[in-house]
Parts: sequence; C-alpha cells; structure tokens
Amino acid sequence: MIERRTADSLTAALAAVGLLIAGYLTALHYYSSVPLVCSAGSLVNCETVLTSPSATVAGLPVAVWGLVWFGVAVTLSAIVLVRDGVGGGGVRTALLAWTVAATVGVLYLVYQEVGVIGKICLWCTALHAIILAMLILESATYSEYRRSPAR
Amino acid sequence: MTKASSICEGWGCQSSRRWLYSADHTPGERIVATKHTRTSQRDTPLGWVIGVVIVAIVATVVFAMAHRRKVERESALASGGAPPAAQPVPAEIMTALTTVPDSSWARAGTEDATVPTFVGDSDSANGKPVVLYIGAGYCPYCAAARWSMVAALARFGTFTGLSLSNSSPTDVFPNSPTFSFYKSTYTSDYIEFQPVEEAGDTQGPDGRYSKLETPTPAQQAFIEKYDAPPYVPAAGAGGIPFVLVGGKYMWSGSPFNPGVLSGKSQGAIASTLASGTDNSSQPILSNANEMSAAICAVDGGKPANVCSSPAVQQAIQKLPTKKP
Repeated sequence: MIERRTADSLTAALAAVGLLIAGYLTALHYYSSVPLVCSAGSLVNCETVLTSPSATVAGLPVAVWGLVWFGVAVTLSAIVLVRDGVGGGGVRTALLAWTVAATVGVLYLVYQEVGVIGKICLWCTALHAIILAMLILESATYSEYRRSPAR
Repeated sequence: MTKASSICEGWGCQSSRRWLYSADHTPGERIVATKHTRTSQRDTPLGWVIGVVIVAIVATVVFAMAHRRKVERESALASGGAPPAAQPVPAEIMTALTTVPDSSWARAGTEDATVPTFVGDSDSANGKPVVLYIGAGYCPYCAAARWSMVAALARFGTFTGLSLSNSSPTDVFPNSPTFSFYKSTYTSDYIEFQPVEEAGDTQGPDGRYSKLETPTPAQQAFIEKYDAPPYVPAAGAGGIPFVLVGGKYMWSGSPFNPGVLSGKSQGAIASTLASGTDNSSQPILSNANEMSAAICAVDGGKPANVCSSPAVQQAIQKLPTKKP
C-alpha cells in the first residue's frame, strides 16, 4: 500500500500538472497565437472538441472551469500536505468531495466527446485521467487517515 | 473467545487498531492487530472506488457510443443516402439580412474586416463584373464567409431560393449555422454572382459529402491561378472559401472566426444584425462592408447610396492596389 504522505504528494503534483494543462487550454481559447499541439485525425482531434458547443458550459469555456477546479485542488492538496495529521481532516474531506464532483463532470465530458462530438481531445483525456487518479489516491489516503490514531 | 469487531460508518470501516483476543488467549493477554490484517484490507473503500470509477467510465463510453450510433443510423435513414431537402430561409431572416440599418453598417465599420488580396485580373459576364464564390456546405469557414457575402450582396441585388444550412457536425466549428447558395438565384443591375457549392453539408452512409457543383473551366482557371502562391500561402493553396470580385480582389479562407457563430441559430444571428453590436454581427457586417467596397471598386461605384456610405468609403481606402 502506498504511504499516505507519498499519496498526498502525488495528489498535489497531479493537481499542479492539471493546472498547467488547463492553463494551456484556456490560453489556447483566448489567444490565437498559442499553437495547438494535438493531432487532427478522424478520432483524436482536439480542435474539433475544443471548438464544439460542448466546450462551453454556462457561457464559459470548459477550460476555464478546469482552471478554476485545478486551482482550488492545488490549494486544498497543498494544505493537506502541509497540515497532515494536525487538523487537516476537514480540508481532506473537502478535497475528496471536490474531486468526486469533478468525477461527475468527467463522465459528462466523456459522454460529450464520445457520444455527441465523436472525437477525442487528448489534452482533455489527460485531465480526466488526472482527476480519476486523484480520486483514487484521495480515497486511499482518506480512509487510512480516518483510521490513523495520530489525527 | 474471538472479539474482532469493526465499526463501519461514513467513508469506511475502522477495526484494524482494535484489540483482538485470540481463541486460546489467557485472560489479560492481548494481541495487537496491525494494519495489515485481513480485516483492514477488506474494510478499505479503495477497491470500491476504483471499481465504481471503472464501471462508470465504461458505462458512459458504451452508452455514448450507442447513442452516437443511433443518431448516425437515424440520420442516414432520414436522408436515404441523399442530401436532405433544403429548408428555405424564413422571410424574417431574409428581411433582417436585407434591411440592415445604415447605423449598423456605420457602427460595424471595417475594424474586424479581412482585407482582400489584390490580384488585378478582370472577370465579367453580361457586361457586369463577376463575384465568384467557391465553397462547400460542410466547410465551417465557408459558413462564416456566406454571412458576410449575403449581407453584402443584398445591397447590390436580390437573392431568391437561399436555403438554411449548417457546416459539418464532425469538422472544426461543427454545425456552424449558415446558408447555402446551392440552387439559389441572384439578380442585380450591377454584378453577376457565380456561386459554386462543390459539396453538401451532410455525409452519406459512406462518410462522403454529396457532390453538388463543379466549377466551369474558366472558374477553375481562376482558382488555380489565384488560390495559389504567391497570393495564398502554399499550405492554403486551393482552399475554400475562395471569393474573387471582378477578377481583381480575392479572399481565400474564412473572413472571420466561425466560432462566433457557434451554438446560435440563423434566426438568432440575423436578429442581431439590426444592432450590429453582437460578437457575431460585428464581424459579419464589418467584412460585408469590405466586400461591398471591393464590389464598388469594380462596378463603377454603384449604387451610390451603398458605395458612398461612410463605412464603405472607409473600406475602399483599405483595399490594396498592388499584387503580393
């Protein structure tokens, strides 16, 4: 079993990587000078996905929502890392709830890509994988944290 | 006596840290259970989380693929492999396109306009300069260009038989709302409009777009000559839309970002032309001003009310006079 401290560090690192990718996708949306590094095939085609109506939710690009989500996730996971064992339980719970909510969003976006647009965006898939990995890590550390007598 | 107990609540179960008494213990003897006990492994919710996540992802993908197949099958059945019947542009949309107030034209100006390339040839028919358009129904960049073209050409003549269209649902800027010039007619005292829609906007069961029209040899000659370097970058040679006004001014590619049309209907976009301030109406009218200016530059400045309008005069000043 992975050590809790290691898992917390991994979670924070994944959130940071996700923040960078979401930042890139946001810049891509607002600045035409930013190049899109992605293949344009019949199945994998980031441009098609990112310019589709499904790429906008409540008037904002999904990339911006991702940026906000990962920004909060980085903050929460950093607090968990710093305050481990000294009253960080509430933050750990908040981070897990935040990630569960994002997982529902991931399922919606996967449905949009596969069922509506018919194309896959690799950058988006990377973000989805990061969120799912964070969910698994957080679930593992959460239950272990709750059992821990040190808390 | 065995007294292993577990407490399950909330996110998981807690038992591994409890004292366990072995079956053959002596009173007072105690054995500390470690976190590696079988009980603890069974209680962790991690396996459940991973399982639920995998099942949810697989179920979503399977459901989405089934949904997409159903939509594609219904679409193919509805079309019978042929392009669906064209839907005429409703009268209120045509009215909005042809009655843009002078104030909106002036407000749109030329700020968002793409200036054409000067190629300096000439192209006329029936004594009037030709406005040649080469495009295709599936093409999202043509979808954007058509908005400005219809708005501009409506200042010089009258369209009949325009139909509603959307760009390909599977290409970039999917389903961009637009019109089709296919089977439409245009009459004008000043210009000859020659639209060529090379393909439709829907894919047949074989995945190909229906072929509609083919450029005449003369039109093809213009394409090969001017939709090529040095007038366009080598990578964009032969690209659509291709618009040539009087053989003199040429646009190759989208005049503005089709993304501003995304998620809107033709009616919704047309209704914003009167104000000219929407993020879609602004580039539509701005580029229509530039196209109007090119037409005015080749048709002798007629009609005067269009060609002398401030925005068109401003656009005429931006027209290039030298070949690249």
